[in-house]
Amino acid sequence: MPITRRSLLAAAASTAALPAMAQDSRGLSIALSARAPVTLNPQLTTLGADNWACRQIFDTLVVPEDGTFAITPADFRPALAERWESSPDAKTWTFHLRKGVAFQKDQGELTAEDVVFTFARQIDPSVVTSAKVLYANIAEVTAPDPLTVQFRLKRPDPLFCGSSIYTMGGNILSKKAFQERGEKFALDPVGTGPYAVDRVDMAKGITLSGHKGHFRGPPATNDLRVLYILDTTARTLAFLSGQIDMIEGARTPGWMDSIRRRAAFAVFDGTKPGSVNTLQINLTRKPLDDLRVRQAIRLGIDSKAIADAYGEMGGQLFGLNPTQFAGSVSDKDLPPELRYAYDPDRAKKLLADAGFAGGLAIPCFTSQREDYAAIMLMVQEQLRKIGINLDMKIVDHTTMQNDNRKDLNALALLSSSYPPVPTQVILEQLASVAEVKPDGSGGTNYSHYGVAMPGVDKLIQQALDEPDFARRVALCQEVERQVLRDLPDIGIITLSYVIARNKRVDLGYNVKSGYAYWPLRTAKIKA
Amino acid sequence: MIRVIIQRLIDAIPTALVVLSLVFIALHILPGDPAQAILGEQATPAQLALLRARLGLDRPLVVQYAVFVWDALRLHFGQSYMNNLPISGILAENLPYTIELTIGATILGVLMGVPVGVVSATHRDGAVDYGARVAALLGLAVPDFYLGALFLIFLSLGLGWFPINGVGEGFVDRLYHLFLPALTLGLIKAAFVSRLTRSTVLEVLGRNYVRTARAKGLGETRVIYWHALRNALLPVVTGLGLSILSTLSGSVAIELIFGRPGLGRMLIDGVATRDYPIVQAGLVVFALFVVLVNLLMDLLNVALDPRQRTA
Amino acid sequence: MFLRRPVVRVCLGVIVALGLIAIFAPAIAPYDPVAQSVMAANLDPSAQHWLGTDQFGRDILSRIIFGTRASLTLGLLSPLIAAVCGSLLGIAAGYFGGLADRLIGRLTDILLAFPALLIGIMVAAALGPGFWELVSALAISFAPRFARIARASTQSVRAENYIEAAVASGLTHRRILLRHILPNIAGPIVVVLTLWVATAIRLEATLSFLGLGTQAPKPSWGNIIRDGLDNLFGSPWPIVSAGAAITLTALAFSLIGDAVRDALDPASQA
Repeated sequence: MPITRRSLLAAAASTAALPAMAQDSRGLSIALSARAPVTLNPQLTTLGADNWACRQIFDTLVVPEDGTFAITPADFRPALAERWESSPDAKTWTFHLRKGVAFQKDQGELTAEDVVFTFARQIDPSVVTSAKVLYANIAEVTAPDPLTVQFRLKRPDPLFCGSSIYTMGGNILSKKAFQERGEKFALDPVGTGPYAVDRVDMAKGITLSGHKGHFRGPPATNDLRVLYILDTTARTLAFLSGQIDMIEGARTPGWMDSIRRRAAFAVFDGTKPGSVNTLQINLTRKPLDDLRVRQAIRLGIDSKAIADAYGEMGGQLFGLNPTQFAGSVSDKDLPPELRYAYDPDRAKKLLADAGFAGGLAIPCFTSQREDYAAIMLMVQEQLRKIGINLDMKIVDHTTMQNDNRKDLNALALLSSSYPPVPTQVILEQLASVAEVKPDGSGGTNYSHYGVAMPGVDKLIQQALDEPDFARRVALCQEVERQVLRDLPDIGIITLSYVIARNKRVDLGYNVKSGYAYWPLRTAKIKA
Repeated sequence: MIRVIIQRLIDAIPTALVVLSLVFIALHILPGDPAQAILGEQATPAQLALLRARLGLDRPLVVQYAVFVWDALRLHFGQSYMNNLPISGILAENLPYTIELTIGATILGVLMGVPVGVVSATHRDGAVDYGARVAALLGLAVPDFYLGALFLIFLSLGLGWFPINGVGEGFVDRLYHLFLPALTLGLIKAAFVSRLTRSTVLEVLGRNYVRTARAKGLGETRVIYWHALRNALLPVVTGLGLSILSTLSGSVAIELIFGRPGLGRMLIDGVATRDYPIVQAGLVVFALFVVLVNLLMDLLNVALDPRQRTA
Repeated sequence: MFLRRPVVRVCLGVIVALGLIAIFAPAIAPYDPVAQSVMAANLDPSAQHWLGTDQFGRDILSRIIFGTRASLTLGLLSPLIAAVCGSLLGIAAGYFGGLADRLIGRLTDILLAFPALLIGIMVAAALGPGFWELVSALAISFAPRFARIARASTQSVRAENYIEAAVASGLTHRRILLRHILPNIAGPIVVVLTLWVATAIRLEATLSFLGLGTQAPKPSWGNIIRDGLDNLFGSPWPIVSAGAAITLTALAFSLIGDAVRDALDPASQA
């Protein structure tokens, strides 16, 4: 294992501060809520914990400022690409690679070929990858010379860096290593990132060490362990006892407060918005096809109270795009009839008008995953007060996903982490092409919006053909307003992704927003 | 003896087939799709179909069943759907933790249960007997996972005497991590063992030859430890052996509480992620244990009780 | 005579009390067990909330009280169903003999080799969550026990001379089964039944704890512990009190079970 002067210093400093753990070769450790490593191929991961490791192992062409999301095209910073430009129609994007970027494990230098290989896999329909939809707009990727990569898009995308480049699947693979290792790449990956994988252990997690040749220099702390501890209690206990530096928080009400009460050394890093939790209403189920019933549901759900239950983790959602994203709408700029402040009396009146003065029962199901179950339990309790009885089953997560995709749910909560691209949630949840099908061959538009009733397809197409960012954002806001009129899909709350950190660890930046994983390159244990 | 073994092994074949079929049926009633579990809810339909084909999930059920039985009979478990690792490796990684937990619990259970049971029987209706019987009743009533949670709350979290989760590294550390989970299951086993020991010893003490021994003027201690205990051994050992199976199944919840890897954890996780090969392998190994333990107990019976040898 | 033993009286008292709590839960519980209050989350025990509140601000005492319903109904219903189905199979096997006997005997032997918890986990996982699914899972894991007892008892009764005589005199099978077999094997089955109630209550709790049992927001002692474990640092009271409730109930039922066994089967008395 390469020992750098910096890591020695860091180790010395940390052992001085923590004599009890002196033998514990003070590297950084982070424990995430997951069973075991699945794959460290960034094109296949769906597991948050694997994403954390991948973020440290690989690099993307461009990045936002550490700890933020890049909301507009101007917010991106160079990474593997030193500079980039797009054509005026936003359909051709050219990236100029940094020279002399080394892959880990002596796998040579990065060239345009690796980048082409990475993205070609994403656009090849015969290759199984997990987030294909993010790359569907790429028509072709080529390498005019060893340090230049050119993307040709099917439709304009002014925010291409956000929608496709800075994504988990946009992490650049080593073509040579990938082809040599085949399936073994998944647990013995090679990237250009600041940390390289030493060992993957199903029971104990992933051990990484600094990549000396990283283009920004080796990481501040040489040793890093990514641990997989599914059980919230076990994870929390390990954190409270000081065994582990950082743990993934539980997305349950009151979790942060309960940690704060017990550990003065705990600080919290959270992303805003975090996950976007929306409730899709199945328009093909009676009486949910009645707008008054949907309005009653909207008015009967007190999303502010739900957000408040989560304390700092929760954020109120007005439309579907979170307020932090371009393209979102909020109470201030909406016409009064689309504001839907919590109003149980009006909800009851609307239900009575629709013929349900005596109440109404809606069968539905949700996942037993903590965030799903907690949000739906709160929704259930609120709707009960306006006379809607959610006859709700709580099933395991896989069953819920599967049954949602087969059009079996009447009210489907969906928690997603979208890139800060205003069209994303619209495309996945509102477009008629994404309509759910009983045989499971459809998408995640569980409301049948655009099919069961006229939707927003035309506006979506307009937005997708719009090369100008500002005008595109305006079109997305138009979509949001139409959705608030029709209510096929209700924004409930955003829920921050939170990591509790022992304050002896200095991240080197502040976490404000971003994906549910962030770089640990600059993190070190303070003296 | 060899005839008995062969007979039992032949008996185990239909058992194995029935168990395999039940496992297969159970897995395929399970709602939920492994491909969806791997790729996530927002995966595209084309990708799901592609992955299903790759996993062989698009083949007719009969074919899948045949492949499954054939593979299982050869103990050929294939690869995990989730991370493509060979199941044999995953088993090899998990099994030792469950075995050490089961052995640890059994040792603690015997160390606590047998002496208490003997004293209880020899000092019948005394204070020790009364206390032991109440404790045993409590031990049989309390759910193992509750006991584990209490230990975790008070001993690990409250007093900080024990580590909180994981399995530790190195021999001593590993034992240290093992202690609380093993104690949890061990206490419950001790309740069972002490009751069993007490009743068998009482029974033996009432038998004729013990009375004869007493009449012959042998010391009470000698009577108890030489005659009574030796004869009480058989039912206790058999009962103990069979109780290993319930400790094994109890380890599922205990592994969850204490954040330990192991067979039970592997099984529950496999169900949650629809990782059929994992669940199949886990259940087959469980079934193997069941068959093996039963076989061993039968043989032990035969070995310890000469009367059964001709049967 | 077995009613005269003080232990039995206390246990019966506990069980009757639990039954009354279950039946009159809405009248006894101070709060609605599913009513949430964000402002009152994770409160410590106080005069208003004797056992405090959980992470949703639900009153823990009320949840425990309502949880009695799930635990008692499941604890009584599933062994009962198992007893009926298992006994029928066992009686049929023992009475008619032949191929059916060999098949049923074999199957029960195989299933008996597995711990009930393991079968419960498998069935519950396959059927999915829900009240009747859970009842089925528990009933299936218990049924072989009853089948074996019923089969063995039936076989021994079947061999008695008077049954031979009854068959010879042309009585119908139904009559023989109802008049002669059933009364004679009822004793052992009732003993097993009472002994398994305690196990059923613990098993329900374990399955709910593993996420395979009673569903939220409906409280059961098992899922109160499960929820509590996720919120251990908010409040340990749900775990401590729900676990105590399970232990107490299982204890009462197993003591009664022992007493019933001693009364019906004096030979086993130790």
